[in-house]
Amino acid sequence: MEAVGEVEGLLSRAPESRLSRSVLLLRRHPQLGAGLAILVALVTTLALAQVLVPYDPLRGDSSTVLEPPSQAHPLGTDSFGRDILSRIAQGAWLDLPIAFTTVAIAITLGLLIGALAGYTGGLVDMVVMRATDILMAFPSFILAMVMVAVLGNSVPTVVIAIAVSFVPDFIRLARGEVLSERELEYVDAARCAGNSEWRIMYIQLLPNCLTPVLVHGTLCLAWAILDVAGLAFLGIGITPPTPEWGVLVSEGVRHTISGDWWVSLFPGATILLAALGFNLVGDSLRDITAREERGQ
Amino acid sequence: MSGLASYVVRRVGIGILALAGAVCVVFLMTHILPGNPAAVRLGATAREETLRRVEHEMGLDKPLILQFADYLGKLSRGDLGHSWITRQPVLDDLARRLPATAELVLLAGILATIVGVSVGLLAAAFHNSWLDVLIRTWATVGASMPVFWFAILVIYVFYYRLGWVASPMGRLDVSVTAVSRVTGFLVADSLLTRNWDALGNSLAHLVLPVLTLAFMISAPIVKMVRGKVLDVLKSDFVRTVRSVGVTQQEILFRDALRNALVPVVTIVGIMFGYTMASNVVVEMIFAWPGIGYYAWQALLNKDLEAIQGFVLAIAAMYITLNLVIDILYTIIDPRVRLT
Amino acid sequence: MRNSATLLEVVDVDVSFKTVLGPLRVLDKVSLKVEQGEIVGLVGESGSGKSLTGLTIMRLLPPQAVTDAGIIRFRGVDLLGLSEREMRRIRGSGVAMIFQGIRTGLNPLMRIGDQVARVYRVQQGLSSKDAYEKGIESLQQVAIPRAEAWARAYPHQLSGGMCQRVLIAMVLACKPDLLIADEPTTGLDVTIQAQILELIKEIRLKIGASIVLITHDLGIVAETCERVVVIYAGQVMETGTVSSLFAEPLHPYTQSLLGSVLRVDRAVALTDGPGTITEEVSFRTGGCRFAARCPVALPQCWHERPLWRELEPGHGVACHRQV
Repeated sequence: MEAVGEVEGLLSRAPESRLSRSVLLLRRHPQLGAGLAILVALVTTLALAQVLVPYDPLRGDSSTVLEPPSQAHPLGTDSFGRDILSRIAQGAWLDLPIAFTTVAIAITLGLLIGALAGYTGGLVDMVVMRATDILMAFPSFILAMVMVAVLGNSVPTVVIAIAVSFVPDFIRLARGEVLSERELEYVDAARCAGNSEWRIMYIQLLPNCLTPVLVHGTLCLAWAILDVAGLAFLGIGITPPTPEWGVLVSEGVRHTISGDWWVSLFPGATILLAALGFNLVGDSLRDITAREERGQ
Repeated sequence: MSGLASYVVRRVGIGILALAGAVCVVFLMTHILPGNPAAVRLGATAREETLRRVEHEMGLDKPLILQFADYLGKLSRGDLGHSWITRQPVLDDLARRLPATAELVLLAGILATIVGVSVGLLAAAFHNSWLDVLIRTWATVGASMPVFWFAILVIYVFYYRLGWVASPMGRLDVSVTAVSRVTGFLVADSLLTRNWDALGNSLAHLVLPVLTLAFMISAPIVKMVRGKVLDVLKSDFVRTVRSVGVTQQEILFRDALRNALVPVVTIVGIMFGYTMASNVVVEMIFAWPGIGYYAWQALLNKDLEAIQGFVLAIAAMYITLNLVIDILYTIIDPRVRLT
Repeated sequence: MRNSATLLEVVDVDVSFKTVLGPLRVLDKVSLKVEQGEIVGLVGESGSGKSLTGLTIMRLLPPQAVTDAGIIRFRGVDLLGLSEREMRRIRGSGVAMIFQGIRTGLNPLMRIGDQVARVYRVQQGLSSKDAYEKGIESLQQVAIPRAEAWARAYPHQLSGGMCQRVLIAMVLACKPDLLIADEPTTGLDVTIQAQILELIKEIRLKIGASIVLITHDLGIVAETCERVVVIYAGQVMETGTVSSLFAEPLHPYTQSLLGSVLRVDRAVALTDGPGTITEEVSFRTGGCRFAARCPVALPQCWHERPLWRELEPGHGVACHRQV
């Protein structure tokens, strides 16, 4: 109802200071605060882990095999006597950078190709769209699985495989934005001013994508973490003894069945928390930007 | 030709083209990507002559175009290649394992839909209450949940600790009398053959994998149903109907549900992909003899023809499903009537 | 024949919206009266609170709105004191409302015949068959040609004017004593507008309903209404019969709406206020909310709400200048 919309439209104009705007944002979108809090807590804990619990994540100690959580080992030890918290912290140096790299590659490729397709139109556009459609006929996880299996188990192949599975969405996004902006007057003006087509495509039109890319990118971060861990758990991509979170979970499976629950529980919980953090932030970003589009 | 018929024809045409494209992609994936399939199969220590021989067997020494032609030829005869692990035709392997997966996926899908739609409706009906917050949290956690971890958790609690279910190994205990195969669905078959032991046992084996898969699938359903129902409840036509005295209950079940579910149908295609991906992991953990487990084995052992077959089967199912959905959509949404 | 019993009496109603910044007073001591058989126009700019007034009477405000004070007496009963179930019975047969937004007011997935029939089923408890037949009758009453055939159509197949007729048919089915029509002609062609307005006037004749016509268009008010209520930023500025208000507008805002000059000796134009009406709403609950845009504002206008004065019988105004 427009009556309600007008009232809400007021609110966007009221507070002047930056600080109160941020506070307002967090109050209206508690998910954002929750997600950021989770991520910050996670990263801090893991960063401090090496300081607080200084064990070597790769070397085992046969005297402390499969110990439940205790003061010496807050998250317990695994079947080689390695401290689990240290292993998880070490794994963070793998999972998080991989997630960010994957999404960064997907965004870069997706935007480049999508903008090109949308701007150029014609045959190029048609080819790109058909290729994207076909690529989207495969569930992304399964596509990534197959690519890694064929390319071989290593970190770079995992990154590429997952990035490729994310690219189609970004292509569509970029293409959509460019298509809707292409006919506007400022593009003609830019052309008259002598800008090259490339410049127009990438410097003028693309920044319009920023918001949806931010939203979708954050959600992709969550999926990337889940995918990498999932693949590693299946034995595809990253394998033992690398302390990737999914690998850690798989190492603990047989122990869980026999009662030593902590070996799988904590690495898995870390995956959940990381994905949850990114999902919460991504969802709230989506809500916030949708609000802004409606002029609220 | 009527509007609907011509749309169907056009849509099927697009579907066939998509399938053709999928075939090409599958072929390219396994033949063009760097890495020698023969070397991959044999490992790094293979001798030169063995490598050459296997390459010849696999047809890898022929030019790419000819390999593709061979591939197409075989496909047209229904030959998806041979798995070098099972030494069987891939098509047979898949066909034999499909019922196990189908039973699991269908049960999980139905459960997830019923629960997901009800819970989503509930959340929207009690918008902004603690129940709504709880449900939204469940949906977000479900979307962030690593399926393999959830499965392990569930096994630990319900099998190891509580002992309520059968061991997470396959569909049936070895001790139970085998069920004669009618449909391939153990529940249906044991009912039909009155094999009560098997019925109970197969259900006991089904509980955990179905619950796990259903939990994963339900999260996006809850989110979407809740969102769409809220949209409908805020819409102008609900306001109209409310102003003539229709009860909130009737609004929820007649207007909200119907109008919300129509767009939800469109995500079934995406859900299929998500479901199959989760299914691979679930089958692996529960040693479930379906196509997901088969695919996992194939991937680990670099059984390329099996991988190809599996991916193609999935793509074909996905394309067909989307085709059916698109056509169905024109029937259920009167605004999409085509001239 | 007009029975001059007062059908609706809105007395000093306050409505505020709960926002993150605190409560926002959107209706400030709004009062109006509707006699039996009258057509009253409720006039204001967009954002004036005219729609909200209608929604408040129907008790169909969104959940973040709160009715802080006031009485809405309908047929002698205070609507604000009723439970939701009791109010639901009043909706439709007692008070009915036609909303803005024509096509969106209909369920896109339901045939229009079914939608009208539904009203009969809910209001009169008819069986599906009977309700459907009555529905077709209603469609005929609102001049929809070949009603039986069109009853099987979906909203997207209808023109804007036809959709509005269907909505009116749905309201007719309720046989309300009071009809609130919120901008029933906005977005329609001029010729269709005239037809719809005629239809609304007929409603009064056919079922004896009184009508509150919410609009921003003074032309419509002049043609259709007997009395007018002028509202600005949630405050009622002036009320009167159409003839006396148009002949001698007492409030500066009414005068500006009618485009007339305030005083012949001082031709003063409307000053530029702080933009739109909604900013008035947010920041001041003190005096007269028109003060910022008023060309003849006095110092006390900003702090003191002017008292309501009836300068002639039936012609009242709230303005410090009219004392």
